[in-house]
Amino acid sequence: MKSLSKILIYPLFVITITGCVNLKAVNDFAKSSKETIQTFKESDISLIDSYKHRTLNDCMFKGGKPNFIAKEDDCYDKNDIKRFKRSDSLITMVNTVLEKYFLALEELSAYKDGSFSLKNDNLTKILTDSTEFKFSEDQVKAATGLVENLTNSAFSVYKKKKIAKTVAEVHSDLAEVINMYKSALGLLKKNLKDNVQTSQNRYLNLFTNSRDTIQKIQVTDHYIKESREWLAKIKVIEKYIKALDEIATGHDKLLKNGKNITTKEIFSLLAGHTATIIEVRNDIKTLKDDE
Amino acid sequence: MSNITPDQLAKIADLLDESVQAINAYQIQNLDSISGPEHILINNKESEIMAQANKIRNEAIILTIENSAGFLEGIEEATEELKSALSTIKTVSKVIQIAASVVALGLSISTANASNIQKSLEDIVELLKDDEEEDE
Repeated sequence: MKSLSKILIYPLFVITITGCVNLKAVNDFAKSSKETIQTFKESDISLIDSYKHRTLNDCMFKGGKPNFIAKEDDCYDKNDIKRFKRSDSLITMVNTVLEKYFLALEELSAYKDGSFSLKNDNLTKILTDSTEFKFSEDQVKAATGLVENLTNSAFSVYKKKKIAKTVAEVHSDLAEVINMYKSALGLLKKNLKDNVQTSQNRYLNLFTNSRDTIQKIQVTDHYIKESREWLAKIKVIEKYIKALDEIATGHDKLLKNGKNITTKEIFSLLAGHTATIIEVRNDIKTLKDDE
Repeated sequence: MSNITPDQLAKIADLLDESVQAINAYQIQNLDSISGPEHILINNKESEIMAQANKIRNEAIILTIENSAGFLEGIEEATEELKSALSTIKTVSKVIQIAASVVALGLSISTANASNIQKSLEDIVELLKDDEEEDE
């Protein structure tokens, strides 16, 4: 039994460890991609907010002086609200689709030592206590260990095959969606840039109409604060687009090297992208906290 | 609107923004010759043009994403495949656990060990109960 377990367990152990490292690189990449996508979601950048902010301010300071607004909703056009909400919901949908994909990839590639273990320790007890069949403690350990290792190795091979197959199937769709998403975000960014210009125009109008220095200082302070907020949001979008580029490139590496690659190679190929994605995610978090 | 592409819409919005930049440059060049009220009027017009550019870009975003519905479905299908693979692993784990309990039960019966029989039966019942809970 001992020698049999040695013969069987050793190669299985090697397969398991190899599988583990490969999948860890994939797991790190999927996890960091998912978390970056979630971080952008939490940044609360939306087209409807941008529209409402700009429209309300235009309404409040029409003609370069403060105006009395009875009802905020009167400033907005119902159809505009509907269309801006529509684009926000579509962007959220794209984000969710990507987030769910990387979550599924993360979960399938998750590897924990001894992820499968025979919970039924009663089996061990019965094998050891059996009066009819005599098993030594080592034989019992070897038998249960063999089942566990065999199962984990089979799972590891199954996971790797499944991941390689799915990555190959989804890759072109993912590349298209990321490209499309980047161009939608680029358009969103341009809208926010317009807000910076609109807020500058409003500032110039209010400044021209300001009666005294105190009012001029107040107007200037408000303008600086508002511009900073828009610029911070623009920066978040720029960073996120960079992260999406890294996600697309990382997925491409996974596609090209997913099946026949040595452990070291896949790890080093994905590690760079994973590190950049994490870095960008942290940058987005910092920018958000600074707002 | 239905025949226009998102790229064309984006280009129109960019042209509107470029016109604002040109008006702005004109304002700066003729800062002294334009009166205060005229500046206010021009600034307001610039903001109105940008508001229109924003709306056009918004439509471009909607079209861009709506046109990609097929690609998004492809990703959703892949997500389901990955989830189903994970679920297969969980099922296989459960089957192995049940099989181990059945082996234990068999050994207990053959050795006529009453307490072990009871424990093994409890284990099997517990594992099958987990399965039912997962199905729900």
